[in-house]
Amino acid sequence: MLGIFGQDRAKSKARREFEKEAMPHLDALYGYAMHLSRNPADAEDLVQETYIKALKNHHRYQPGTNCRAWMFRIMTNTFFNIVRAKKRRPMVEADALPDIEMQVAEHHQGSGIYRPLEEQLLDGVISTHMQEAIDSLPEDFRTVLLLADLEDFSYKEIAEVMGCPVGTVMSRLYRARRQMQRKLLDHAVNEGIVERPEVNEDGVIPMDAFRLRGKRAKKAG
Amino acid sequence: MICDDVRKYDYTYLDDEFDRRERAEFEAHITACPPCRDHVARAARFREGVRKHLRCDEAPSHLRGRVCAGLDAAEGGHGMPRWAIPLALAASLGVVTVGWQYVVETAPAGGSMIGHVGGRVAAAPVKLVVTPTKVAGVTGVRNSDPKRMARRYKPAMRVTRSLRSNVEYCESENKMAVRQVEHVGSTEVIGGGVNDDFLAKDGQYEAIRTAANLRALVSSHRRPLPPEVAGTARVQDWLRRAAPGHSALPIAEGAGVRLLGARLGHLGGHRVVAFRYRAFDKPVTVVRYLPAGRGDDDRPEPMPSAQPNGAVRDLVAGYSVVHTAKNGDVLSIVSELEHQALLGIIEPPSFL
Repeated sequence: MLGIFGQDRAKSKARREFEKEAMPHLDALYGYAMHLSRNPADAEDLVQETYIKALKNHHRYQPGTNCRAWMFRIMTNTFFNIVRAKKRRPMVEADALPDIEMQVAEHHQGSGIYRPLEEQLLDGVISTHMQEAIDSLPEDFRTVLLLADLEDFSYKEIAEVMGCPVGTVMSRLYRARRQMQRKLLDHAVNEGIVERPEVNEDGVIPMDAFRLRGKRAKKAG
Repeated sequence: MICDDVRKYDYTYLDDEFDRRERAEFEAHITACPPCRDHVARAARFREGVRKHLRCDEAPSHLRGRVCAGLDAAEGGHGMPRWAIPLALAASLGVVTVGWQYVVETAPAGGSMIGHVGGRVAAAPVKLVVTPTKVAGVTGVRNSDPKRMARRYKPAMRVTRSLRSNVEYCESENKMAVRQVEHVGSTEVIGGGVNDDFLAKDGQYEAIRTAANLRALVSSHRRPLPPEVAGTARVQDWLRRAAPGHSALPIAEGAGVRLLGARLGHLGGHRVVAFRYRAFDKPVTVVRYLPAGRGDDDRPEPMPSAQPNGAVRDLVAGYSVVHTAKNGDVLSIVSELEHQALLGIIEPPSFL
């Protein structure tokens, strides 16, 4: 009897320790789960699954290390397992995307010739498109974006969560954001909020447009 | 650092992943290069938009109970379906802590405001911990050589040339100029080296303007702990007990400024009262530094004197930080509002 009681006490102590460490992350994990699974019921299941897995593997967790990153890692892996099982949203091999896409995206947003879109883009009109743009990202891009912009993890922590090098985190994050910026720009152009920037496929500004801009600037000046 | 680097590492910068040196180089470049500045401003706005969009509610109150029940089931190993656990059990369990944003900061300020370091580049939430007082100063020195610059900014000015980039930093009194140069040089000090006068004049808030403290300020602003007390009347009551002698509100309410709550805490080794305000729909954290050495605290941290002699501005990770003294207390104020708006809140214009 004593033995049984002793065992119970020990168990509940481990459990208490686990809850003390893991429970403070509930809100953050739920927010992440909401964005990953896109509906509250699935999100709650995912959170619960994550905690159960974490408890089962708690002996592998080294006290004093980053508990938050550890919990997020479990959730990310759990989610990817579900996705793979359901084949709901096939994974795109992120690093297999052609580099040219990134370069074009960079030209689109990076050449500094555009009118300030964001005030309009981000104020209501386009916020409905924001979710679309996020949803259109491949899962592993989206995950990295969520970890960075929703959960405020550092690159190093994201690398820990995703189990990949920091360089991969950086490139995924970079591409995710560029891709979104481009999507939002497309929406804005389609809805007539802004003009299509005068850039052709190669990212070169046509000469006529260039001269026109010069004249316009002169007039304004 | 060249323009291509800025385009490539804009988000690395905005995500605050650079070390000090890299950050300084990046900031020097965007200070001197308007197209890159615009680019970073755009990226920052986009990033902020995504963040705003992603922000979401805390977990529903029954989730904690559900998770605990799931853990019980898993631990007990009796295979009871998790969904079968009565909701009533969940409901009876703890309420999820509400993520409440608190503001740390306080300090009534008395004197005239003399902003010295600072200067936000355009409207971009870029962080420039040290920036030229006037960007115009940069063009002014572009074609002069460091020695001439040193003469011009006498007495005792320091010109440092970065090893890795074509950037020179020139400091003189409260001014700092940054310019790009054509070649990569070695670090050199021209002129009087570190000027004690410079440090002394600026020394007022040095103790609280360490990189660690600034970061702590901003992170306490971004991820605030819940307040110990909420509501103006209760905060005032609580202050009289918790911080006798420092019970005035650091910032008066009114005209779009509302006090949400306050808590006691530690920030970079200082005991502080952190106040959370809402001003013009933005959270504002006000930290009032309490004098050390009361009771348990035997090792007094260096503290700036609380003589009102203006405000000092910092820009950290896109957040405006203002240090000032008010009614004998030293305050740091953090917000995404512009410096000018913050100064207006601390010391409302007399016509209001």
